[in-house]
Amino acid sequence: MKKMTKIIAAVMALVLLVSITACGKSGLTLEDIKADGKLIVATNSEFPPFEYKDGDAVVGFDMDLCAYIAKEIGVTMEVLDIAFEDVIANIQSGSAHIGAAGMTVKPDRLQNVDFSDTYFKASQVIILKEDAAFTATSELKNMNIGVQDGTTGADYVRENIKEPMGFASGALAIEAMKAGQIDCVIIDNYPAIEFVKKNPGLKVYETPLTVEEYAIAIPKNSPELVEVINKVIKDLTANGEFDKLLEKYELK
Amino acid sequence: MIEINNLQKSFGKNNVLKGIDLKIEKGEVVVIIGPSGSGKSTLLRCLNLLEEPTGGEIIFEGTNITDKKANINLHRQKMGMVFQHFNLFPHYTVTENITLAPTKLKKIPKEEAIEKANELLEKVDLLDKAAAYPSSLSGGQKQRVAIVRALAMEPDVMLFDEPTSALDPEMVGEVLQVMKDLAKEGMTMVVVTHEMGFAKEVGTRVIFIDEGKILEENSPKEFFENPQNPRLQDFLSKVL
Amino acid sequence: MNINFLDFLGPMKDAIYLNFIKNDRYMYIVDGLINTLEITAVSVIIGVIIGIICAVIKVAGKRVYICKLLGYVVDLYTTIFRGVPVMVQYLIAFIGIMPLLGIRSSFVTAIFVFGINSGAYISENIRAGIEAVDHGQEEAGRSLGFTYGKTMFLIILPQAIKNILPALGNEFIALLKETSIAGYFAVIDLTKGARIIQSQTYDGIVPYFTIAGIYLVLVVILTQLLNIFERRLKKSDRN
Repeated sequence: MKKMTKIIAAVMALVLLVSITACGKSGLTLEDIKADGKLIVATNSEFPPFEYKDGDAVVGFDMDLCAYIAKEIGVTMEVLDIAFEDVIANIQSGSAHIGAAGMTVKPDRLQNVDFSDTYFKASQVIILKEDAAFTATSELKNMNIGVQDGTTGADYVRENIKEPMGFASGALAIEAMKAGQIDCVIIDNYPAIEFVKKNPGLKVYETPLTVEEYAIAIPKNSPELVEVINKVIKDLTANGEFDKLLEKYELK
Repeated sequence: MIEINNLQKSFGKNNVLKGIDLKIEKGEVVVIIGPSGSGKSTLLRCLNLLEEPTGGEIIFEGTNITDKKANINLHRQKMGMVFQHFNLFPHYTVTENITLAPTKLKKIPKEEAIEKANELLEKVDLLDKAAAYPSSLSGGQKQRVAIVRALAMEPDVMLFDEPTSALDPEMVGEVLQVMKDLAKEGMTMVVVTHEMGFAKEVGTRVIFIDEGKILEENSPKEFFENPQNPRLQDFLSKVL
Repeated sequence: MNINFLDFLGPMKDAIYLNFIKNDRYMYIVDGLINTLEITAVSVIIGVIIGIICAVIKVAGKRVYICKLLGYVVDLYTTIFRGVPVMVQYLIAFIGIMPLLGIRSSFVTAIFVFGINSGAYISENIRAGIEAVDHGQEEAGRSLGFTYGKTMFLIILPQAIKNILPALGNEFIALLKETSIAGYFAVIDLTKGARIIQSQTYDGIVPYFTIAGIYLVLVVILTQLLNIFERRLKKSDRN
């Protein structure tokens, strides 16, 4: 038993230590990124059209935006494609410089990362089977709601409707609905359009549940980086490049 | 008591017993000898159907036990068996080894079974080991406990399958002594062994088996002093 | 580096508040832990029941003809469920089999998948444990007049347990960790609980280290219990 107490104590100590070092970390400067020679962008390529795979390459609206940011800093860009929920952990740990994955600003999140200015308004919509009788969002509380884990939609449902059924990806949630395990899927509107395109027999309920804004996630205490990214977003909007990007990905 | 008619046993294409006829009367000590691979152990193991014969019949106390309808479990209770490798139950104490079958099968009250076990242990000089586990016993002690375990069911016949073959030489004597005492008390015994001394001294009849057949069957005196079959003569010349 | 103790206690406090206290977020960990333990325990129980049945069929297959035939079914079962990744089994069960059975509970699905899966492993453990018992033990039991069933129950199985128990404990421990797959399929297990907190606070460190600690503590406790149990068994059987 003595041995067990020791092991447990050691685990606790380790948790404490790692948490502490994580909290006390200083931010990222532009010099740090230049020293690395590239801007490492963490994302999850299962979120079309913001990020998705084209062959081996990860492309999409967010990736094009980050390419501009890298150019502004004067380095090349590298993509770190991981699970959506792990994007932030990788920024915190330093394995990526910024996160661009259609992420939404929320007060609780600000304790662990900073965000750029928002660059896109997205809404959460409901995907249903085509033959589903559904007339008002008030009916949701009597339904089995599927969501993608870690998304704003999941949090929205959890806080405002009921505990949702969370799946590892939007595609798995769609499969679950097709198999009759859940009644609907709540997800960002643009991926929703893609899913319905690819899966006949599904429809999107037009009225959005909630509207949210995407921003780029940046490590805490990195004022230079925030400044550069905000400048890029401002410049692109001013010179019309941003609108062209939206058109390129049919986001208008 | 036991009547064996044209007993045959084959493992696949290998015919181990090729028609054995043998009668064993109450109170006899029948010793079976023969070279290894001769089928002598198989014959013994057929007597309580640990090996299922492929032909012939065995009549035990008037019942044909090779008949599918016969309840072999009941007949086995009357046939004690002692193995070369003792096969004591390692998770039970000596007393539990001995009382397991009487209490579970004959529904004898536990106290009575323990009393009986102690009596028998006393006889084989192992009363002080009653509470021990088999792993703490020597080979000779294990075999004596195994004999007591079989005797506790009060069998009508005792089958011994090379009971001393796995023992260190200095322990053979103590086991043979127990068997001699048992024979003196009039127990019917069938013994497969390499101990020629035992056969001579205790056996009422000695049987020589080779290649699945009984080649010679005689009183010990005749058997050893005047062997008829050339293969027995050859065998005896090697072992004596 | 000069670290002042009070300096880092401050942010620690904040992190704990944010991740666990605020909005009762600790309940995700508590609920997740309960679900993980329930799924593991029920799955192992189902696995042991299936395992004993399959193992007895396999062992008895040598002497009972119908068991020999059933043995082929058991072989097919163990081969499939030990040969296909649990994740794939889960996907098939979730999308294909459960809808056919009309089951719409993610919790029941998890128990179904893990129970049947561990049954395949446990049956092999039990069979191996039974077969590792010296054949002479069976002969000794039968020669005393015990039936095959009683010989199994009184003589062979008590000895086999000693062989089976460590494997069973390891299966329980493996399953405890493996059940985190259920989180992909709408079950809030311990891992999923931490992921939900992480998605709300964007803190990728405190929640994960917390559950890592919980898993580790659970496994250490289980291992110790198993050791104690094994020692008890050995005490009565110093072989």
